[in-house]
Amino acid sequence: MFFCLLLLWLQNPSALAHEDLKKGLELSQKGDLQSANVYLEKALKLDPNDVEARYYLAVNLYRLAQFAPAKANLERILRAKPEMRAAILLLGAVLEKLDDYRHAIRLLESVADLVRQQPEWIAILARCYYHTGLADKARATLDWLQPAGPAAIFLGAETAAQSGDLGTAERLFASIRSTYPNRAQLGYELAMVQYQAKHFQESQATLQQLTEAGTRESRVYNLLSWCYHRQNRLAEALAAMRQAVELDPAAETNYDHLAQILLEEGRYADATEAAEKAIAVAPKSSTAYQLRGRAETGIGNFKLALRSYTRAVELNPADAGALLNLALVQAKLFQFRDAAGSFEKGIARSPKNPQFYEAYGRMLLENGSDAGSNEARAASLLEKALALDNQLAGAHYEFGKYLLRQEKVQPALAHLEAAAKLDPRDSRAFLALAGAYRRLGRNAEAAEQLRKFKELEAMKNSPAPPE
Amino acid sequence: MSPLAPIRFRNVAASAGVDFVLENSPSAEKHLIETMPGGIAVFDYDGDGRPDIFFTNGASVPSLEKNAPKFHNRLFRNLGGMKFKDVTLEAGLAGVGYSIGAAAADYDNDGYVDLFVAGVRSNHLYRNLGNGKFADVTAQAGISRAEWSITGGWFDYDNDGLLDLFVVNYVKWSPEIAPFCGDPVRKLRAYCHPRFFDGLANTLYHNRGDGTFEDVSVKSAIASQIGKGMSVAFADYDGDGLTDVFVTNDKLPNFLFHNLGNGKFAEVALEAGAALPDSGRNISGMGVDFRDYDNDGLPDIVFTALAGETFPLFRNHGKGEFRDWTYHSRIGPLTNQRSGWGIGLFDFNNDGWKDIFTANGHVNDTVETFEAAKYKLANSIFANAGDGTFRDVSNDASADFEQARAHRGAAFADFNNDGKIDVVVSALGEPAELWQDASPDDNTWLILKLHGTSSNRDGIGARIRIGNQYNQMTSSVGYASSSHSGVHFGLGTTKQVDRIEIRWPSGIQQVLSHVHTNQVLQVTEPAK
Repeated sequence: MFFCLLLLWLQNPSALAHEDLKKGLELSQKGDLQSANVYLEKALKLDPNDVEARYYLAVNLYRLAQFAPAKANLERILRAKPEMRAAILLLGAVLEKLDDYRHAIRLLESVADLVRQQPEWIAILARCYYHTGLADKARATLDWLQPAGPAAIFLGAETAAQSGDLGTAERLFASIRSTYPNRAQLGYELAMVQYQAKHFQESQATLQQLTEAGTRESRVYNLLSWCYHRQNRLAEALAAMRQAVELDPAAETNYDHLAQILLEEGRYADATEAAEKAIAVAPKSSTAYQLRGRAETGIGNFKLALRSYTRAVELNPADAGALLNLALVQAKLFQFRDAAGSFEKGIARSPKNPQFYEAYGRMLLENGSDAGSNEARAASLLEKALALDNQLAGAHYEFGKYLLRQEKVQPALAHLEAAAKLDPRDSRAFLALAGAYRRLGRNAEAAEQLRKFKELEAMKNSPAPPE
Repeated sequence: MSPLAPIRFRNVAASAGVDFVLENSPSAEKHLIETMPGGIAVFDYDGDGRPDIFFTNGASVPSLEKNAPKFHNRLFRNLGGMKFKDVTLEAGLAGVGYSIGAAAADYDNDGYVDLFVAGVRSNHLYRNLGNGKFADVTAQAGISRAEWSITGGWFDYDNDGLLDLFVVNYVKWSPEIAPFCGDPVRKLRAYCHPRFFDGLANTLYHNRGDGTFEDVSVKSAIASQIGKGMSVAFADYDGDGLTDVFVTNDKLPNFLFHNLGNGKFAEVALEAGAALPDSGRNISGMGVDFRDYDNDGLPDIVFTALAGETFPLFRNHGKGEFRDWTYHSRIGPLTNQRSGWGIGLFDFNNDGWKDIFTANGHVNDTVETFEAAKYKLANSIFANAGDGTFRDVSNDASADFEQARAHRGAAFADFNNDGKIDVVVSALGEPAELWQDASPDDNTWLILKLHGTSSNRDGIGARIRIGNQYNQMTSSVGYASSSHSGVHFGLGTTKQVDRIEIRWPSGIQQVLSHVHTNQVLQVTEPAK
């Protein structure tokens, strides 16, 4: 009898759906979200109106970062059951992930009481406010975390830091200094925020407190190194980064950062060595090869740099920076056909990256073998670069120079003025501007531009670098 | 493209007996001086009407002593028929120290061309005694100096009839200053960039007319500018009758010293648009020539530089303004991968348009390890198409013209009196080349040899017009070199020139009429 009843129950679609739902929930709880969703979807096939199954499916999809299907499921739920506040809350969170911040805010504000119950929801709403420029509201929302304790405040501080509200982040991290259980973690995050806020000395002090208290973490010494570097304390920066390397010799990052610091200091030979070590620990790292290429370029060994950038591109063909550097070094080595190929590839892969257009245009203007057609192509590339980003000083400068060469002095002037305004440290724009003004007979303005040019050039006259 | 009159050259150095090898003493320490010698002076030292050749030479490093005959500077007497004889010792020109450049002119107006030799921490003035011998009069003349000079240039800045001396100084250097440059990781040493050395001001000596000179560098404001001078050329770019000075600098803006006429100069290169190419980058300015390339009556500037920098051409647009014409003239793409030293704007095919000859080679003997640039290069000839542009005709010159060497100085003259401009070129560690202009004889020519009376004896600074062509008497041409052999004009198919106008430095205007072409014309400055 029991067996028959069970058979009947099992053949009932609703009962079967319930079984699938149950199984799906079990698997969800175990963290096997993919398998859970198979059951939840089976349940929904049997009973498409099963709001519960659909909701849990949406939850899992959210957790699996499949935000578009999560949104579709939640919207379907809310069409059937607009009062379901849990779905509203989750949809708000999903929309935040889909960058639809205004819609997310509307939904989350409508269930503010639910939001306030969980620090994670509070953080989501705060992020939405930050993204829409409502920083005050974001800060007020993060204040809801205060009663939830140090862990929640830590989350709030992270949220503020990620949103670039470094002052709030620093304030929140500092407020839990005595209560947050993981002092090392807190100290590091606080120091990172201080570093990002360019409070290098404070960041350094925070990190030193950690090391003095016995923290021996590679990342702490790494950040400490950057703090010193930004304060022009090279010896200490190098010592700290070497400490970071010692603590985690298998980590590529520390070698990369060591190379970066050395590159910024113009110590190309040492940078090469650091990049070589990065390559040794991470032979598949495009970044490490790029750093080596930069160091080799600094030394002036363009042939080696070509090899490094070629490898960097092989390892990560999607890396626009590697491809751009490859194109530039090819041009430097007079491999104009190859460079053109790299630029074209870069444009095809990153059609919205104006740097490819700018550098390609410059190369054609400087090295063209067929003046007419190359110049026309160069001009169109520079125009495209400016259409993508009108704030590119280099593209304005090159296009202005091109127009000047074509005796189109007035439009040239506009571009050169833009270049000088956008990058007032680049002396070349002032020299070109002087030429343009001179052609227009505006001699006083020409003289003024030359004065600026000379001033900037004088500032460049520094002693010879160490190598 | 319409065909241009061909330009052909053949190297006759061996058959001519010009067996000079430039000894630069390359060392493991890569002393910067080793990259720089090779200046040549072409001048008629014995007054026989045939231009002779003087080569500067290096010395031992680091002693800077010419402690073996191979380091001697060398003078080759032109015997005619493209034959030369080494007369160095009898002329007393073997020299001392590490010589770099030379400048020839008759500074004492005695009718014999004298010689200034610049070098590393030791410059020398050799007075031509008129008997085939020279006397070192450096000390008496008051021009001793212990800096590193690249070359000198003779011009009469105050038009007093006496040639003054402009000395181009490079950087502060001593053998003890030998930083490691290059790739320290791979222990590849290379010659250092000039930024590792402090620059120097140039020197201007005023000729007192009694065999001595006054250093007027400060007084004239020439010394107000610190540079890293490589070469000098003279021309009156603004037509005010006063000779102006253009100096190329190594990785610094060039100088254009505008002659103010009161014994002072104003450095106006930036204002005039001649300091830097349009790129705004400091480049390695090397040899220079300062002549009218497009027959508009205004002297233009063209100079050599290193690979990736092009050989810039600044066109004189009048009213004191130059414009970077490197790309308009097509010289930009033609030279972008070349590195050059010596340069000269001469009409090699006598078609009425001045062409460009460049002596090529890179500075750094290890450059090929680092860059695509080549260390040893063939020389180049760019033919003036007559429409403001140039064409590379180097490959048509001859098979042996493709000889790649580390060329340095170049000097220009018609050595065999055929009316075509020949070129003598030096190369580090290798035999000098004597390029006989073997272009077809279809076109006509004139060479004017000037004899100043009120003006300086050489007529240096005189400006000459024939038809729409302009040229001036100067001996400062190219890198560290001097070409003192009259003023040459290519005249196409013209058999007789209707009118030659000469403006002498004294201000005297002279007109010659109905002059037959294909001759060396001796012209004496008339009385006022």
